[in-house]
Amino acid sequence: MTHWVDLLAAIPPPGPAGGSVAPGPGPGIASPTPAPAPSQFGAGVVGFSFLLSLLIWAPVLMALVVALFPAGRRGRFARWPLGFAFWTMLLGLFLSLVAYSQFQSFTTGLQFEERAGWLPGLGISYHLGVDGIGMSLIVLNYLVGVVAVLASWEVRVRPRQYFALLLVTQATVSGAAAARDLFVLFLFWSAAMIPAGLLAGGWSGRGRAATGRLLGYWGVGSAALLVALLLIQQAAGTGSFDLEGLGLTQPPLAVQVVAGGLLLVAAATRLPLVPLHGWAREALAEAPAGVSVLVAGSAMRLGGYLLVRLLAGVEQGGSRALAPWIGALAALTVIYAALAALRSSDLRRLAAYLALIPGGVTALGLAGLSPLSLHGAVLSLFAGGLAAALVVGAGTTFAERARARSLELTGGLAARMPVLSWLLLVGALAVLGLPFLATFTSGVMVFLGSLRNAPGPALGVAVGLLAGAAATASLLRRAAFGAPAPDAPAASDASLPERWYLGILVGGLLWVGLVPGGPRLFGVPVFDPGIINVVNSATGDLAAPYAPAAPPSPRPPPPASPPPSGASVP
Amino acid sequence: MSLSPRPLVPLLAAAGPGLDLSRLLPWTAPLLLVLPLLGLAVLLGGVRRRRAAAGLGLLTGLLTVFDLGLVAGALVRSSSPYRAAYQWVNVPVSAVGDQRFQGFGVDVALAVDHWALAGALAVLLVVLAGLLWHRVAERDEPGPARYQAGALLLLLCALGVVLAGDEVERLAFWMTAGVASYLLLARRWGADAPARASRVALALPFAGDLALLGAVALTYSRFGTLDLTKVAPALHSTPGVGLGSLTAIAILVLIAAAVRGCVWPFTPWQTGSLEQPASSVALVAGVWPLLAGVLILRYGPLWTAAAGPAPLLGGVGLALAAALGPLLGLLASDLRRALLLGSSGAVALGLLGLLGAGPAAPAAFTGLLAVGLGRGGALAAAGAAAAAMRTADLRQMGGAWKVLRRTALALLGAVTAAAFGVSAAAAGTPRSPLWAAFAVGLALAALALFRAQWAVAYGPLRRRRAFEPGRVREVPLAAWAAALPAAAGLAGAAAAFAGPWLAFLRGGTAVTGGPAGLIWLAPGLAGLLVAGLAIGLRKDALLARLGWLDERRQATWKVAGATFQRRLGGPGLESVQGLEDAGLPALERALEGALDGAGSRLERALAGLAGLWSARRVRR
Repeated sequence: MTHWVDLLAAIPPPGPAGGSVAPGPGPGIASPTPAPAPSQFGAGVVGFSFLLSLLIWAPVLMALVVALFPAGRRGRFARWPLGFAFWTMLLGLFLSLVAYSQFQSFTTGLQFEERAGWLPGLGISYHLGVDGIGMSLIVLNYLVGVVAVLASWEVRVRPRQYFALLLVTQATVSGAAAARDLFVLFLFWSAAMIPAGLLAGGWSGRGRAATGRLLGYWGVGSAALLVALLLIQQAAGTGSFDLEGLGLTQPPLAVQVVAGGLLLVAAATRLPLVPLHGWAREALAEAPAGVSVLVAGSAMRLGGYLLVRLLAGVEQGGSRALAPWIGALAALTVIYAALAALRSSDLRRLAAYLALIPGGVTALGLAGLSPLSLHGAVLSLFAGGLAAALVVGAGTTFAERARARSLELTGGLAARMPVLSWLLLVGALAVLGLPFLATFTSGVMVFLGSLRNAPGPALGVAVGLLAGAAATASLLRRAAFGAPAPDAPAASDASLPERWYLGILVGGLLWVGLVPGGPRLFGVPVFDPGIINVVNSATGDLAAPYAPAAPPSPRPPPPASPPPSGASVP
Repeated sequence: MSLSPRPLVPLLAAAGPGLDLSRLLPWTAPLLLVLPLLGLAVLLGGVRRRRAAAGLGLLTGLLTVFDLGLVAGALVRSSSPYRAAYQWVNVPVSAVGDQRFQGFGVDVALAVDHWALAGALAVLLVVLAGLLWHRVAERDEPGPARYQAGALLLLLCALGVVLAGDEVERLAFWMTAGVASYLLLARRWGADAPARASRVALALPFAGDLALLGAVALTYSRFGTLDLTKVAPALHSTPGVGLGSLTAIAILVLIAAAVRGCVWPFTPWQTGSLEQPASSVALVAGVWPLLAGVLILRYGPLWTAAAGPAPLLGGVGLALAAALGPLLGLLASDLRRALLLGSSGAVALGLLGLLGAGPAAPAAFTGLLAVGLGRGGALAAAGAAAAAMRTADLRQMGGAWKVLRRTALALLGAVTAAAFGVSAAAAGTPRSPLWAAFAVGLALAALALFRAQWAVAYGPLRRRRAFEPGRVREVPLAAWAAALPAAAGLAGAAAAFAGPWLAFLRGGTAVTGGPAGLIWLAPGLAGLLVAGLAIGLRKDALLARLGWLDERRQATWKVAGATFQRRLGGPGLESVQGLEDAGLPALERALEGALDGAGSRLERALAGLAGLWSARRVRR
């Protein structure tokens, strides 16, 4: 019997006769700048070529160790999984920051690249590498990973399973951000589903609903992604899933639109965009704080990453055709999430709705389809991840410390929980784009860049943000300010680990908001190249096809008519 | 952000006998923002005690005033502004296409000219008065460090708005000043009513902030720059920029200014927060008209270019606001509400005078400064009077000239500054329909403001039951704190008629105006006289009748609000909730059922196929 893999491999790539392959950029589409020779080892000190593999697989390896670690008598080693997870994340964060600080932001192309053959018959290879977008996501993922472990400080039920799954979830996000082969990307993307689903449901009261919804929605997204990838690969005719080759081809518009639509569905389940957001309110509102923070902070950002990388980066015609739809979904998401938050009387659910807003802003940037809006969209992946993690984390911790999640029972808690009240305030305002926080920088870039091409969606998102402000004010009045509720249970302020994890998120938002280009001392960059510069190294090429055309230059005066020669021309 | 200042040593060497302040500008100008920032950082760093926090706030304010003096000394004889920029964001976003959009940069830019000097001084005076008032009259208020932090944040951001040379920078400071205002207006956390009202203080002005964001985004998308000094020369030569774009920008800017400046109908975010501490209310009410004036002034060239619908729409809107705000103020029984609504008309007239940066702009800007200062002083004085008389109800207040002489004097000065501040702007306004708007607006504003002033100062003090009238005493320092902005406002109102001052504001250019415009004091004087006569003759009956009307108005609004909530707001939110709680789960169940059914059918089909295949094999 012929193996199905061989059957798939035997499918001939469509040739020119099929009319589906355009060997180069289509007419009117600016070709990306030819990538220079990849700087395989980053800029210097960390010179080994398996840095990305280490960042991806070390958490998986440690997850195995944690899962197999003995519990010990009377729970003697019960806290060890926490320690393992914490130090793994911290070391990973250190390594990712070293890689980030050495990132050559003045050049385009992949860095820290790794390539190994895997399934050559199918055109699949183990190809990793990061450009500015991937680098920023990996740093975000590890930052959020550390925060998630700190937020899980109080998890004492089945800690081995919990932290093992947390580590695996974190690793899959890193893998998806670093993958340069579409099939590998798909594997990492889909692999996140299982641990995240188990985490969302395994440690909460309404576990089955949360797990079922998350698996259902993410499963639909994975299926859509798989079909889209196969379509893109077949239409490209390169016989490979490698992104480098696919990025240089422009399939027919119909294929681009269909593949783009499928990518949009996949991204909308993860980002998430309304109406494919049903899992988020359950997972973010029911899961433990650490899981909510990890999912909102980094796993959800992969949806935006998918749109940036594959739709805007590869399917330019498709992204142009789908831009109005993306814009409509962006506006719908922000307005709907804000209204649902305004109506909600459950503190955690309200925070979960607010956490959907950054995804809408990212989608608006993609709908704007201008270089600036795309820059803003990429930056909003980072900034929005921090803001969403902060608001969800603060909401969860607030509810836990107040021992009540119903807003009917809370109220006037600012006096007893000042630190958490302030952090909740900052988190909610960060989602709305408070100036001097990272979300302001990205939001301004998105709005300024998208107003010309997508004025309607920009207006819709603005209206949604206004409703979000009303929801924030309502949340603060009902939870923190106002008269204390007589039936409120005894509340306590944030513990030290909780202060640390929320403080790290606020610090990240402030740092990027205040010095997005990195700190400089007398004009010289100091230790941080600046997230905006790192992101820019990749988005320049990605956004080039969408650059607005130069205005027509003033017409030169007509040349003076030649003097009559005297000789008549018959 | 990169900082590369000049070496300090030669500068200090220059500070010898022949001190050249202009050489110190690279240090003194940024200090205008750095000093409040430092004060805020130290405060947040650990100052918690009331006295220490208050002292730190006042010290920061005074040091900033001193620094402003140094900057003013350097620039007073110079007609060109001082500019400095520190890079904040600078990214090349594209290497191809339209050159204007190939890069994106935002600077922390300082643009210090004579307008900015005047605006910064007014902001500082209002904030200092608020800090002083809080120190002497709100000793029992909880969270003193929180108040000082909010006030210093507001000071920092207000100065940022005044001095900004980049529009995204101005937007950032503007929005942060809004957050600081919310924090100041949401201070009494323990009570339900103020906390409920503070919701409006966050959500409503945010609409104005988004309007400003829209204006900035529209400006950038059309001109490719965020520096208005570069926009002005390119207004008519930029391809693709039509009247529609300019009109939209101008209207959005006006909405932002009107919302934050608390012009009718955008007043509820301040009138709803009157139960908050008086110093907070006075600070917010005093600072925002100044910032609104700065915003309109900086966007003046765009208003000029958007000739046609924008000035017409703006003019009509502001004229209506100038009349209706004071009219509602006339009805108000609450002293602070009457002052806020009365002065909202003056703010609207100030903005009206500023539209288009025409010949009336210097007088209008000065008048707006006077109105802002007067508004701040009036609300501080009103807070002192209300605290002393244990009521803010005009029907029960009176006799302040006898028992609260300093407070009544401060209130009179503040009300005079607010009522007459923008009179001079009318003189420079060229169009006759606007004159009518000014005449009516000035008269109504003066009527509303002086009605409140006379009602507090004269007549019997009705509120006698709860305490002994003899115990109505004022805190002298609090009265002086209210008198400080009031006096400055009066000076500003007088300066609006002074030609040299107006020429100074324009960098030495001669301007129209001067004593001939004194005729425009007449509408205000008429309002003053009418208010005096009415209160003097039939105070109680008049206030009772107006109070009755105000109650009817409140009842009508309540019914309208409830109707809106019942017909539109509630069902809208209910539908979202219904969709979320029932619609989506039903859809999910339907999808699940469909998938389940499809899977079952597929399974049966596969089983059938397998059966057929095995049967065929058996047959073979």
